[in-house]
Amino acid sequence: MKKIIDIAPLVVFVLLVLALFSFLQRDNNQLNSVLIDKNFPEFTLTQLEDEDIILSRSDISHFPAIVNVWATWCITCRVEHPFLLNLKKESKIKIYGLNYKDDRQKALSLLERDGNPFEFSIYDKEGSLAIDLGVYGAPETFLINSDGIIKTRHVGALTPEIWNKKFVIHLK
Amino acid sequence: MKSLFFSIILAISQVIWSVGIQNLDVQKELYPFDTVEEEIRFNKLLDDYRCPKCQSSNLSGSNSPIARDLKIEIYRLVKEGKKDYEITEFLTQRYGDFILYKPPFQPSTYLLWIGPFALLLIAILCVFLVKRSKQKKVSDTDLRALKKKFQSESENR
Amino acid sequence: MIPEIGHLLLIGALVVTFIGGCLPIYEFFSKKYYSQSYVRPFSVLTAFLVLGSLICLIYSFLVDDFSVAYVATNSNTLLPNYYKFAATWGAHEGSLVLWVLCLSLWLVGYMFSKRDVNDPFSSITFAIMNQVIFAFVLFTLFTSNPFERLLPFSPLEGGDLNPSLQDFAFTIHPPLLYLGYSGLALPFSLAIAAMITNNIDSLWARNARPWSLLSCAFLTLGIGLGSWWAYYELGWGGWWFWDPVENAAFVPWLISIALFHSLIVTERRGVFKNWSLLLSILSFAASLLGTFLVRSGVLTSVHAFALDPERGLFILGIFTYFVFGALLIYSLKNTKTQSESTYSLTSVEFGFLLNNLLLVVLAISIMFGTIFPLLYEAYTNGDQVSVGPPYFNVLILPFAIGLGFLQGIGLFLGWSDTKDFKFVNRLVIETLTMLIVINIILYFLFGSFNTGSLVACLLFSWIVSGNFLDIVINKRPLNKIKSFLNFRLGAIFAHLGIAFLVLGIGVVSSYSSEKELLLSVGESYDLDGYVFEFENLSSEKGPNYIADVASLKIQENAQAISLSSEKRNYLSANQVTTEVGIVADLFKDYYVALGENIEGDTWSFRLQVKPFVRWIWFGALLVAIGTFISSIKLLRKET
Repeated sequence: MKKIIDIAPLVVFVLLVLALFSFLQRDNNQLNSVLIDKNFPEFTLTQLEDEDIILSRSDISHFPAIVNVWATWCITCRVEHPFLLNLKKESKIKIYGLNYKDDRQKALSLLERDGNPFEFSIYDKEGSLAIDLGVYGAPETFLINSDGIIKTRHVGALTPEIWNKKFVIHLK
Repeated sequence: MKSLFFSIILAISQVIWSVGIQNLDVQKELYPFDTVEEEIRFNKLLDDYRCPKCQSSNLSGSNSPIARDLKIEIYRLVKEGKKDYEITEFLTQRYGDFILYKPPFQPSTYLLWIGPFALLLIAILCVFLVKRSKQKKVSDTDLRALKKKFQSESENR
Repeated sequence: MIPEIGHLLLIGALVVTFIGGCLPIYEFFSKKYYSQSYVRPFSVLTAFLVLGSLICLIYSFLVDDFSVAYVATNSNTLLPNYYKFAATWGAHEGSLVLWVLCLSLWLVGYMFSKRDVNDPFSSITFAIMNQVIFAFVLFTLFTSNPFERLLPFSPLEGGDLNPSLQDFAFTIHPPLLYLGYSGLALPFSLAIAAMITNNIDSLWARNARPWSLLSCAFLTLGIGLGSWWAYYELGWGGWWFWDPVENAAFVPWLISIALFHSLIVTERRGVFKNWSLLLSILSFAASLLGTFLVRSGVLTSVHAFALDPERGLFILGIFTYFVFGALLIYSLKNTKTQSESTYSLTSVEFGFLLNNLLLVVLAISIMFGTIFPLLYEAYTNGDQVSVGPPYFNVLILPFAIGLGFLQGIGLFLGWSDTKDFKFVNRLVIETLTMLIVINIILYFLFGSFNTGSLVACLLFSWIVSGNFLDIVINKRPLNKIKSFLNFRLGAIFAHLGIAFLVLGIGVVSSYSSEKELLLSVGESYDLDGYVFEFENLSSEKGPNYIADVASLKIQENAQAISLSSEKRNYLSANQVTTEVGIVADLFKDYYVALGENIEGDTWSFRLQVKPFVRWIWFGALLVAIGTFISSIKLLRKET
C-alpha cells in the first residue's frame, strides 16, 4: 500500500505531461460547427441585389456550393475576396454570399468596385440566419456537398492551403 | 463604531424610503420585463452562456456584436415564455455545447461532475485504511510482546 | 548599447546559476568540498546581474528605444512615464525577467535569513534554486529574449501598452503575483534538500514554513489585486470568473495553504512527513503548471500571453524536469524515518489531515476542470465543451463549507486527542447569536432572505466565533487572552480574513441590483430605491486618449453622491475602453458603466449596486496580513 502511495504521484504526473504535450499539438483555434452533416437551415430573407426578391433555402439549389459570410465592415473579408473571385473562375463550385449585418448600399458598392464572386447574396440585416448557422463573426465559409449537406465550416479568411486541407476532400 | 451605527440607520431609512417609490421607468430599460422572475431568469441565463467569439467571457459581460445579438435573441425567447432548457437547446443546436458554461451532465462528462467528490471519498477511504493498518501493526506488535512475555515467564517457572 | 548590456547580464546570470546549480550537488555526492562560503556571494551576484538586466530593459522603455522589438511592441511615446516603467513586465518576454528577479530575491532572502548556511542542507537548497533560475534564464534567452533588436530599420513609434493595462493596480499586480509563484520554489528546494541529505525532520519543517507562508501572502495579494482590478477595469461588475489564468494562480494558493498547515504538524509532532514533502513539490508544480497554461497558448483566455507552442514545449520541459525529478527522489527516499505517533479522530492532527485532503482535492479538481475542455476535445475527437463559473461555483461550495467548519474548531482541538468538548456548546451558541444578528441587519438592509447569503453568514459566524469571539468573551484572565492572541495572531487575522471574504461573496452574490438601460441627459432612474440621474455629458482629453464623460448623481435619502463614467478612445491603438464610475461606502458600491451613444444625447448605461463587495478584498487583505505576520514571526525567531 505504501509503495503505491509513493509511486502514484509519479504515474499521475507522467500521464499529465503526456496530456499537456498532446495539447500543444492541436492546431484548432476555432469553434467547430455543430451543423456538420445537417441541412442548410430554412430562412426567409431578401436578396441583397434586389430587395423585392424573397429568398429561402430552396434558392440555394446548385450543389456543391459554398456559402460565404461577409460584410463591408469586415477587414479580413477584403483579404479573402480575391481568392473567392479566383475560385469562381477556376472551379465549378457555386459561391453564395450571406451579407451579414450590413448596409445594403455600401455592400452593393463594394461588390461593384471589387467584383462579385457570388451567385447572389442573402441580405441578413439582423443576423438571424447567421445565428441559425452558428455564425459568430466574419468571414466564415460553409461547404455544402453535392447531396445538400453541410460538410465543413471555416472561420477566417479562405486561403488555398485551407481550401485544399479542409474543403477539397468533401468535393469528391 | 459610531459610523457603523449611523450607516445602519441610514440603510434602514433607505429601505423605508424606497418602499414608497414605484418603478415607472420601464420604458428606459434596455430589456424590460413584465415580471421580476423573468428578469432574474434572463440575467442568470446571460451569466451562464458563453460568448462564442470572445476568448473567455459570458454573454452578460461581453460587448461584442454576436453577444449583443444573442442577448436580444434570448430576450425574445424569454418574453415568448420559453423555458430555460428550451433556450439552452436553441443555442446548443446552433453553437454546440461550447456555448454552455455549465457542461451538460452526460456520460462523457461524468468524470468532471462526479470526479472531485469520488476523489474525496477515495482519499478519505485511503486515510481510514492506512490508519487501520497502522493500528493493526501496533496491536500486532503488542500481541507479540505479550506472547514473548508469557513465554519468558513460563520458561522461568 | 544598453540593451546589449542587459543581454550580457542575463548571460552572466546563466553562467553563475549553472555553476551554482551543479557545484553543491557535485560536492555533496563526491564529498569534496571546495569552498563552503560561496553560496551567499553567488546569490547576491545572481540577483545583481538579473536586476541590472531588468534595469537595462526599463531604461530602454523610458527613453523610447524602439530599436528594441519588445519596447516597440509594448510602448509608445505618448505613454506616461509611469506606465512605460510598468510596461516592462506588460508582456511575456519582460515578465520573465521579472520572474527570474523574484526567484533571485527569494534566494538571497533565504541565504541571509539563517546565521549559518555552510551545511549540506543549505547548499543543496541553494543548488536547486540555482537550477530553477538557470532554467528560466535559459528559457528567456532562447525563446523569449526581450533585448532583441529591430535593426537596421527601427520604427519611429511603438504599438502601445494595452489600454486596459494602463492602470495602477496592473503595475503592482504582476510583481506581487510573481513573488508568490516564484516563492514556492523555495519550499520545493528545501524539500529536495531534505530528501537528499536525509534530514526529513522538524528542523526542515521549521525552515520551510515561513517561506511557504510568505509565498502564500504574496499570492493572496496578487490574486486579490487581480480580482479588484478586474472589478473596476472590465466594466461588468464581476470580480472572479474562474478564467484559466485566475485558476492558474488559485490552485498554487490552495496548495500552499495546505503546505504550511501540514508543516506545522511535521514540525510539532514529526508526522505528516510524506504529506509535507509532497505538498512542497505539488505547490511549486502547480506554480509551474500555471506558468505553462498561461504562456503556451493551449487555453484561450482574456489574459493569456502571446501564443507560442514552441515556448510551451520549453516550459513543459522545465515542468517535467523539476517535478519528475522531485517525485522520483520522493519515491526513492528513505522512509525508515517515519515515526509512529498515533492520533485519534478528534485530534488536531486529524483535523489538519482533513484540511490537507480538502484543499488538495479541491485544487486538483479546479485544475482538472480548467483543462477538461482540452481533454474532452481530444477524447471525443472534436466535440467542444466549456467549463465555467456555473461548474466551479457548484464545485467549491461543499469544500468551502468543510474547510470553514474546520477553521472554526481548529484552535480548540488538542494534539493526539481532544479531551474537552465544552467549546462545542459555546461555539454553537455564539455562532447562532451572531447569525441571527447579521441576518436581522441584512433583512433591514435588503428586505429579504436568501439561502446563499444565509450559508455565507453561517460560515462567517462560525469562523469568527471560533477564532476571535470565543477567545475574547470566554472568561479567562486577561493576560492569558493576550498571550493566546499574540501566539496565534497571524492565524487569527488570516482566518478572520477568510470569514470576511466568504461573507462578502455571499452577500454580493445574493443582494446585488443591476439594470441595463437608456438615459438621456437630465433623465433619472430608480434602481431598487437608489435614484440615478444622468446629469451631464462632456468631453475630456487625456495624455493619450480622448474621452466622453458622463456625470451622474445618485440620491441616497438626504445625500447626493456624484460619480462619472467615461468611454476612452486611445488614439494610438485605436481602442475604446470604458472607465467605470464607482463610489463606495462601508456597506456597498455604486457601480456605473457608460455604454454606447444611441442617438442624440441618449446613452446606454449599466447601473449596479453591489453590497458588501469590498469585504471580499478586505478579507483578502486580512489573509495576506495574517500570513505575513506568521512568517515574519517565524523568521525573527531564527534557529
